[in-house]
Amino acid sequence: MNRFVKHFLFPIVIISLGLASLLVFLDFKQEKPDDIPVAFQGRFRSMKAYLQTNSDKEPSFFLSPPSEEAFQKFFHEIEMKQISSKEIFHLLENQYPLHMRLKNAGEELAVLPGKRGEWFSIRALTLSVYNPTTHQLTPVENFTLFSDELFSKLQKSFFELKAAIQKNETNTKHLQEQFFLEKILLEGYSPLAGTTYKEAFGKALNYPSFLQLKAESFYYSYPFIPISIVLYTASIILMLLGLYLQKTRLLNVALVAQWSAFFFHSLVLTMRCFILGRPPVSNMFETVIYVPWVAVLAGMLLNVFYRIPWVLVASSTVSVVLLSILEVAQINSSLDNVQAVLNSQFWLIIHVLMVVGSYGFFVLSGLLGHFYLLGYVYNKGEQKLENVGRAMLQCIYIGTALLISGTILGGVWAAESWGRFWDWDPKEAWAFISSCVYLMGIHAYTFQHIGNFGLAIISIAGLQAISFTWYGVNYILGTGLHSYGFGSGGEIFYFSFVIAEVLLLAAMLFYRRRIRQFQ
Amino acid sequence: MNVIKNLFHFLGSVHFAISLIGVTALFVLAGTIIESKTGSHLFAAYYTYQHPAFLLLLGLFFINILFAALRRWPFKFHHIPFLITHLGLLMILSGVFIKSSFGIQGTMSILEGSGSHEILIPNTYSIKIFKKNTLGTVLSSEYSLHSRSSPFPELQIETVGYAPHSSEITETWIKGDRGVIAGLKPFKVFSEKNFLDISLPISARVSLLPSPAEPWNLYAFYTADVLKVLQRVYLEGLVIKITDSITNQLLYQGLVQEALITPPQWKEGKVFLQLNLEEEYFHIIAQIEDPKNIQTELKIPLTGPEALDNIPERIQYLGRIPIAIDLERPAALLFVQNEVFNDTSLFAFDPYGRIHKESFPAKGLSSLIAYDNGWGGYYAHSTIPFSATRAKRQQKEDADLATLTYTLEKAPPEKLSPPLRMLYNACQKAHCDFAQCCAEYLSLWDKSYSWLYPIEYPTPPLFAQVSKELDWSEESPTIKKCCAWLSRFFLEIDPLLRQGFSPRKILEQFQWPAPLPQGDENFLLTTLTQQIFSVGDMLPDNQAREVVEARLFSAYLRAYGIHLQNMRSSNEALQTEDSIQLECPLTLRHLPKPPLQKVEECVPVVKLKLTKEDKTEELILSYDRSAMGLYWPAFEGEYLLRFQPRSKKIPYHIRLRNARRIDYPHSTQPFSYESDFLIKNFNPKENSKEEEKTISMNNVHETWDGFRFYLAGLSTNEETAAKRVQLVVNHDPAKYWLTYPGGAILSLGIALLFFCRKPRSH
Repeated sequence: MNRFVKHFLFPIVIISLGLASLLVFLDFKQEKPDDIPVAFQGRFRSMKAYLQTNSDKEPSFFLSPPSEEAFQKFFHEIEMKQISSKEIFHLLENQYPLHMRLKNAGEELAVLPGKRGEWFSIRALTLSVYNPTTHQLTPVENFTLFSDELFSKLQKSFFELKAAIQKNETNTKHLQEQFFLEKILLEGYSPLAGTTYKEAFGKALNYPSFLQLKAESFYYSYPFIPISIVLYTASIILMLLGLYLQKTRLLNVALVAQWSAFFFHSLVLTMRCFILGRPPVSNMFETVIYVPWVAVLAGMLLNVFYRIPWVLVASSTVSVVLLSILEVAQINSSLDNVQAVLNSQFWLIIHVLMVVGSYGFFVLSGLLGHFYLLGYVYNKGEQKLENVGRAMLQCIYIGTALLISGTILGGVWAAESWGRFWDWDPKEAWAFISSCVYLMGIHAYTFQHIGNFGLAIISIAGLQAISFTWYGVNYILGTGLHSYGFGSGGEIFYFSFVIAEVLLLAAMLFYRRRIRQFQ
Repeated sequence: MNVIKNLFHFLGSVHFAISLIGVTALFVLAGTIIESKTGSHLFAAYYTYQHPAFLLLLGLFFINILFAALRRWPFKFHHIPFLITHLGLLMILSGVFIKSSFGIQGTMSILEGSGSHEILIPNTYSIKIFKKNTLGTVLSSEYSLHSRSSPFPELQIETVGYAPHSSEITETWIKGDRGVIAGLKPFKVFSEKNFLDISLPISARVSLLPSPAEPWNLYAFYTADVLKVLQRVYLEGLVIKITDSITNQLLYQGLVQEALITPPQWKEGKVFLQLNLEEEYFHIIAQIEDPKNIQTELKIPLTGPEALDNIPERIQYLGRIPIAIDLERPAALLFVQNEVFNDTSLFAFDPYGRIHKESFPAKGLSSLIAYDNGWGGYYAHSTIPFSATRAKRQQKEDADLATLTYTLEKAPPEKLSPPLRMLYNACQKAHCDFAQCCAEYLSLWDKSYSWLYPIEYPTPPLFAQVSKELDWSEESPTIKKCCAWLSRFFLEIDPLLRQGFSPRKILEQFQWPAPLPQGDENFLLTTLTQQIFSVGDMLPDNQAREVVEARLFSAYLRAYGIHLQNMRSSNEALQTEDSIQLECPLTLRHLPKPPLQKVEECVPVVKLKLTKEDKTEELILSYDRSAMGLYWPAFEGEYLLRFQPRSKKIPYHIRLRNARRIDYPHSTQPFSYESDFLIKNFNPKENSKEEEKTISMNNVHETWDGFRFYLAGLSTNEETAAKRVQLVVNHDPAKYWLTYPGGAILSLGIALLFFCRKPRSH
């Protein structure tokens, strides 16, 4: 029990407290001018940061969009003709509708909330409209949800900032104008934050709250995933060294490294969860973060009961491998809208969390299987590998329980919302195949037809089935109803991985036969 | 006994279980690969998930689990997790089995505003039959393809042919080697290949218009090149007539076929012809070279409301040319079928060379006539516009002029513009009809193809009568001087304009001092006229040349922008278009094809032999997956039949009020699908009030007796179109007491197995 508290509860509590205090910190952090978050096409970052990243070139959002030139040319053309101002107005609106021009202003720095839930670029302020009474082009009127008074202030400040930048005035003046602009934007947005802008039966879309904006700004300001990759790698190296040199202190350092890696890992998940207002399991990118997270959690838990640091090494390795794949493969990582089918049901979310969570256990067991085989070769027998085998078994048990219950829950959800319990959809079929592989292993193990070695073989074979369920159905088969995370690419790597694993299994079976004959 | 005991133990053994799991997994693996390769779930299901061997495997599973449990009899405490797990599995298996044999799973497709209480069971096949008796009451029934019994006692149905996949060709005017027009004798269809060098044969001559008119020639061909046939038939007997439109003197007459090769010539003039039938817009281009220095290109459309009009390049400001081109040919109807795509085209050539085209694609018509809702059969139809009063070009122009005369007659004199008022007053003094005079003047001027009335032209007779009475100082004393200057100026410009030079270029050469507007040349000339007109009184007197009143008057009119081309009103209201209506019975031809791998897209076709008393009839029907197509009549409209999925009545009537798709802002990605329904229960015992419900994706409506309605699809998101909603209707009698509890028990059992595991003994 003591060990449970020390090795599991303690780090978890610390990490949770850390995450919570970070959110509180973000909430109460004093708002300095250059930290005011600004909406950026659904994402948020500070205006200063934006100007800094684009400082090498002239900030293009102060110039009129290219389509505006055509509009003005057309206006001068028809101005020459002898037609009434009303006709000019209608011709202009017909040829260049205002809403299209607003949209064409681009997505750069989209900070102006439109009246139908859309976001317009700050560039849209440079647009002009025809005024039939004065017969002239005048700056565009309020098209945002801000009050008219605020909008005109915003426009004024915007043009002043533009002038300041164009005249290359001193940095202070520049900053001052920018500060005004940000302040106005903030003032305009504050009544909108957190309110609903689109409603449908049983669900709604909300404007992000200020805290969410800050969280998003924070999320994009630091490379959290590379940080956790580095920390996980460090923990693996330290742990291996500690095990090799038999130094407890090194092991403790390694543990702290893993915990901090896990902290950043959890941070990524919670941030996405908090910013999007939904669990982060609705596309490939998010599951690739979630699975190793489950694996590390499982590793920490197993280490409590079986006292095998190897589990920790394995779980850190899972994280390093998967998170690196994520960084290298550049899967679509943006904070996207979610598919209409996915975004409402509680039970659906539980189903996905359970099924994808089971992948974490299976991946961990697969890696432990590799360790077991390595140890087998190293020790020329199954001595000293008892605990690895037991950890592997636990992983398979929990994983199978999660996978089967989660799949059944998915079936119930499908029956409730589509009218069919089971239809051999490729994802369902492969979940079934994976469960079959592990069930065969469990039955054979329970009735003592195989031992730990066989279990290691099964866990590696199961890993292949799971990887196909996870990646292959989406990227190789590409059909079926679970089309939320579909994509393409990486087939060659995947197939080489599977072939290598099959060769490894064959070699190990052959090797075992040789050892037995020898003995 | 021992054998049975051994068998029992084997069937309940773990070896058997492991092999079963393995084989099933391999089956499923094969299924997913087949599905991915063929893209067809049904195809994969046919060889794996619905294959008897697979169902046998599931049965063996059931037996294995059952026996494995029974083998442990008498049960002990530690068996409980095992028993619970396997009980859960058994419950799920039986629940799924009961659903697939006794449950309902169908689709319903409803249009906004309509309702239904019938569902279709997908991937089933049946013949839906309607029967109508003499009183008009309709009985409906369904006939399964494999059953022997007929739904109506007097009617015997036999399936004599079946193909798993086919394609359907809509046959209209040409059916095989016969052409068909309702009410006429069938006529022969020729292959164009056999008449490459000899003239094309006429299939028939038919009267389509009241008796004094010539009968129409009827041609019908198969061809690989529709355009070539069109060109050949159209040129047959097509005559071109060139007349001087001022004197109405015939200048040239000859066949177009020859005129295309050797350009027609008359005493001073020449014209190069070019016939364009390639594009949808049929027209003739005539390049005119005339002694009177007219260089222009005439465009003569052959279709549409402007058909047969002579349209010169600069009609906007110079009007028509003094030469008119007309066509003449024997009227003809041409049916052409494309040999490759089987599309049929109909062309009608009226006596004046106008062409009307209609297409009848083989892949379904855009409209058809259904007599008595299909009991009377289906017909394709064609409407050939024909006008008795406005057929010729001359008639059209006369009609336009008559309209103008009428308008001028009705116009109140005080509202006329100054030049017209001047003419009106002069007419009053000379006792001449103003409207006639004005129309005659404008029409002659229009035919001159020059900006002002040409000086060498004869003065129109009526205008000559009144010209002495014209009071030029009526409006202002300087007007005559201004007009004289205009006339003088355009004496030099008009010939250049007629030769086809651009007004802007001419003025650039003249080094015109005043600013001129950009763009439209018509606008440019008007501006120029107004500029000269406004400064005319400041110029010195201009008496150098003899002044013709008709020319001065045209200058005055130009200053006010009056010209026949600007006054032509669209007198559509006055047009009473007659037309020739043709119909032909619609038939289908089915071509059997090898079955597709994607079974979902196969269109099976069935050949039925219907026998009633001593009459027999054969009918070929192709599968109508959505059950929204046509019913086909049999026995002269006594029965209507359609090959469609089996339908089933449910005890609820569903009416769709409104359906909508809500998108994420600024994108076309759907956020939610929703629809509002009125649901009414037929069961008299229950509360049968109509209830309003909203269902959306993931928000299902379930009735008290277990019917569930799911929103599966929405046809379109256009706001103007009525939306069609696809509903899935389902009724699962076992889910609440077998399937779902089974799932829960199984999950519980797995958890128990995990926690209550005995440490493994070695």
